[in-house]
Amino acid sequence: MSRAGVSWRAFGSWLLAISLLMGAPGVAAAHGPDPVLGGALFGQDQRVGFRWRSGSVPPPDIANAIRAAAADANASRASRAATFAFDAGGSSLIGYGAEATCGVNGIACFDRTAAPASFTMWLREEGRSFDWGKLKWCQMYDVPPNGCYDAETVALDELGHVEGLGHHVNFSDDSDYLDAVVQTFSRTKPRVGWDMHSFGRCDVATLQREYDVPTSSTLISTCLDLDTGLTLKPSATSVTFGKTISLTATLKIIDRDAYDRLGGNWLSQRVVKLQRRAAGSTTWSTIATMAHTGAAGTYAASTTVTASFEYRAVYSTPSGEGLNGDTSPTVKVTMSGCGTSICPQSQPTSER
Amino acid sequence: MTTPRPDRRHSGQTGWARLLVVVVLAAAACGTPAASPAPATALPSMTDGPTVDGPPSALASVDGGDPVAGQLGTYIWGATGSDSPWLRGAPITVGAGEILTIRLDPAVGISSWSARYVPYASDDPAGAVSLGDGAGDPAIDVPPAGDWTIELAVVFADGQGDARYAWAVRVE
Repeated sequence: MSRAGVSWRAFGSWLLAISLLMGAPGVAAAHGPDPVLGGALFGQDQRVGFRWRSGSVPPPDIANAIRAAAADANASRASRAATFAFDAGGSSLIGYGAEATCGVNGIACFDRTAAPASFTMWLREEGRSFDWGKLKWCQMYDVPPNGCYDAETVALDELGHVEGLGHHVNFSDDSDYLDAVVQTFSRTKPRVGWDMHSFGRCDVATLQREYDVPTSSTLISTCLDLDTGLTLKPSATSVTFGKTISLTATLKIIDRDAYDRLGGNWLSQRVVKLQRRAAGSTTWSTIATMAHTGAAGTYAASTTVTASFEYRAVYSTPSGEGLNGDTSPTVKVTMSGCGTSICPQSQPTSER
Repeated sequence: MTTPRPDRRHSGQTGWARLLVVVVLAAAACGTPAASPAPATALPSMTDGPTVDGPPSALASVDGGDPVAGQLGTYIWGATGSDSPWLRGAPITVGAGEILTIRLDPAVGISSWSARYVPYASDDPAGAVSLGDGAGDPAIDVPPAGDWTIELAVVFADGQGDARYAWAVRVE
């Protein structure tokens, strides 16, 4: 499988296209996977250990929220993106407090310059006064007040950045806000999305594209729109009456540069159907759901030949994945005669 | 919040109390989005300045006015980034029909930009109205009379990142 280089130039062009669309009043912004940040990616499944920055250790409630965010990232990445874990000897530092190097109005920030060796992350301190108001972390209250930020959500947002995710580009009405936790503006309690504790589907889409999926059975994010390719091959193209043939289909994602690491991937455990029609007919009939053979992206079915038929495999566009269905080229299997079998009086020549 | 501090020294500029009347009257005559009442509290002071390692300041001005640095919001700068809330912006007063031009300090190439506005009292960009987009230095037709937050989203050239800047704009 190929992988296109990730460049800021490409990202900039993408954002330009997005922003041009956003600028038109009444036109919904383009929608898709999170953009990709500059800098190196972490290794696939790299375990990245983090610890608290000396002198800027978060209070227990915030520390717990950050640990929970790391667990959220690991549990919801649906990809081979790096995993995060607290490690007293870790080389990545997470700090909390007034020493944060965030922008003047920032409540949290990250630095992935040293990726893939390490990263740094900061959360501002509870009660800090900004021009926009006073920062409240929900975790610091027994009953979180409206207007507080969920530290777990914000930390997950930052860890998404650390993985290489840019801010999701929402529709102009923000109706797709829940598609990503890596947002330009985090929401406060009680607005919808204020406490998202897993990556959204458009975060996952970019993680899958940049880091690949763990297995050929992993579901592809519905925020993607990938074309698939289906082939079909019979064990024989000419057989005598009554013989059984096997047909083998293969299903994969088309190998395109834009698909990055997902391009060319086999697709296992999907629903592939076998159809046939009599020679000359235009009507296809489904005769079997092909079984996954155990080999990546490979499906098989057997059928007894009673006439000359054309066959094809069909993978319908699934509702729960970002894949486009495909139909294999047609293959023809000819019945060459009766052989040693006893042919029926009226040998079928067409599907009845 | 501090005492209102108009940052634009525009000749003939009147006091805030007088502006309030003008704004309310003008807003009543405006189309959508409806102008919010003038802020009950003062517009915020502007304390943003360029950060050493962060994105540039964005200086907005109209013809004859002093530049006002926008509040720096969420940004990506190289391999670093900072997440901010929705900002109501740094105060600036302009006249209806004027054009707000923005330059970056220090100068950084702009790959693309887009601008939008919401009533000043808004807590988020819901219902924002576009003020245009383009490449190069932004030039924005100001909204109708009223108190607004204008947000400018900039994508820097050469893949350096992106940033959002906000102004609390009082349009006379």
